[in-house]
Amino acid sequence: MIWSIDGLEWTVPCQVDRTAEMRASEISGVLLDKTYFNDVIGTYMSYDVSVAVPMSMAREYEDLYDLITEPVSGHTFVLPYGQSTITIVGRVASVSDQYHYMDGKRNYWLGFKFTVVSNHPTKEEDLETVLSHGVDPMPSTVDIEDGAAFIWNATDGVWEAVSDSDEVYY
Amino acid sequence: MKIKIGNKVYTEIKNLSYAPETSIDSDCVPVNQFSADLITDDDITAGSDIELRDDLDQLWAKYWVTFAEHVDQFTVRVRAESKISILDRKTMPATMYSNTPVSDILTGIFSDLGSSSYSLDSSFSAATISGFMPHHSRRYRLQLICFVIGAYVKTFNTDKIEILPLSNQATYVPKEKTFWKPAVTYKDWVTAITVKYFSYQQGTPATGDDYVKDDQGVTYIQTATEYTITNTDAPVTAPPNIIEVSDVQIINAGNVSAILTRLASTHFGRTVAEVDVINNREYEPGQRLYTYGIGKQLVLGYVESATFSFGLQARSKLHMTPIEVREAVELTLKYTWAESGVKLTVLIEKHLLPKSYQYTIQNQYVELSWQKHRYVLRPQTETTTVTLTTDTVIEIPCYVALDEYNGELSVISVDEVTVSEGEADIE
Repeated sequence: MIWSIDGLEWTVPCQVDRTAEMRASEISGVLLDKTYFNDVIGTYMSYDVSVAVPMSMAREYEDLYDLITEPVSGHTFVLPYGQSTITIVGRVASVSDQYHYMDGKRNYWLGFKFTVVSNHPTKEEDLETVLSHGVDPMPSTVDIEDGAAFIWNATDGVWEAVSDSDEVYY
Repeated sequence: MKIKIGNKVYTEIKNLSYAPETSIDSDCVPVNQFSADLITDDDITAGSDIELRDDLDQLWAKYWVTFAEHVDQFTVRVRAESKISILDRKTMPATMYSNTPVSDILTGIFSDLGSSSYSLDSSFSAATISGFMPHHSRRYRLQLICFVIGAYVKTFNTDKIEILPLSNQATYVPKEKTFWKPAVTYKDWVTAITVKYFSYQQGTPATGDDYVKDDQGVTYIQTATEYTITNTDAPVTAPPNIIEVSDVQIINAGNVSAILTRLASTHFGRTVAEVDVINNREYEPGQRLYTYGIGKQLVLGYVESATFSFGLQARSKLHMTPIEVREAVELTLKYTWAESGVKLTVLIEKHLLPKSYQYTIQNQYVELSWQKHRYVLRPQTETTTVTLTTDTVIEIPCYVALDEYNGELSVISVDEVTVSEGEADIE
């Protein structure tokens, strides 16, 4: 599998545990009608990655370790997502490995694991959609008549008039 | 939320604190503020104009920066306040007003900020002031004028300082916007209110006469009369607790009755509600609201202050002044749609409304997915007006306004669609 940190690619065997958290703001709570008001601000991804680093890559591993343990607010990661990848700027929450003394000449470190949590939501709702209860905005039309027809262009996110009436703008 | 200073927009904000308030009848117009930590290394200077806006770019507050400091390399703490505070910098002379238009006095009060900085509601265009104002700050004079004409000052959700009338119409906060659970407390009974009103005669006072002197040196003999109203709701065992208004010298025989009535309406009640609501600018200080109290009760009051918390949406704790508590009855609105001989109930909406009080509810458009169609259903009547004495169910028939099927939208029945900054409303 290939993953990368700050453009540095690693093609090594690894196990990835993926968690998505739909994080709600602290203003969420129970309403008087007993429904829960869930003020979701976005979906944040978290990856637990366990990497089997070949002994032949011990020097590269040391560079990686130095990079990933830098005290910075985040790194740019490319990680598996579905059948493709996702790019996230995430904070490294933890890094761990184990020391194995092997041959008296070199130190070998195995069991490299790290956890990265996205700093920004990978999906987010916008206020306009929330306030309109998920109903798509109406056609951007200033003069509309009964019988007019529009087609939803999902790619561009706009309603397009079926006819080319001069009185219909979009 | 975002903060705009000059042309620069800051979206990385921490510790945003915003709790606007207004004054129904207190001593002075509040100076509303907000503060926030901005993630930036910019140098922000005090005195700059600053705007608080939401993600839809709607203005929440337009104030000026009174304080800015770097708390660390990448964080600047800013504090902003309404320009009302500028009115404290200068005083106004002792003046005798005689049927002086309120608008003329405001011109003097806001002379430093300019005429575009404030607006006076058109309902006050004929309002006048008669009586004496001692030498004091412009801000205090503004409050006294608001007090006698029944106005309040709004410095939130607007780019101006707005002088608005206290409304007699109450807005109802529904259950689905009210957080569990409103707090209701009881304050001590106010047993009576006494208001002194004044008349003036230019001349030389005799010994023992009260008199005032304006900044021109002109002397006026002052005659004061007391007017008292007692609270008939207060039990006889309630200890005397009298509110006295004795030093507002622009209360006169012409306005004392209205002032007393208004004071009684906001002080003779004793049930104080504090409610948390979802508040995307719908509810604001100065508004008259019905909110849920204990059990089947609605508490009526003016919103005195609103403390906001922000997520994607906004929530605020509303502190209300008491007006009265009303027994409530439940109104159930059943939105129905008849299709192919089948009548569907597409939405049930419940409202707790004050008993024996006429109330008008805006009927909703209802979105419905039905047999691969997505409909927007339009209620046959725009509003429902009721005066209820018992729990009631009302049916609201709807018909199709829009029909989306397979990515195609058919407009069946709309009057017009109006578009404003990307938002559309069907009418």
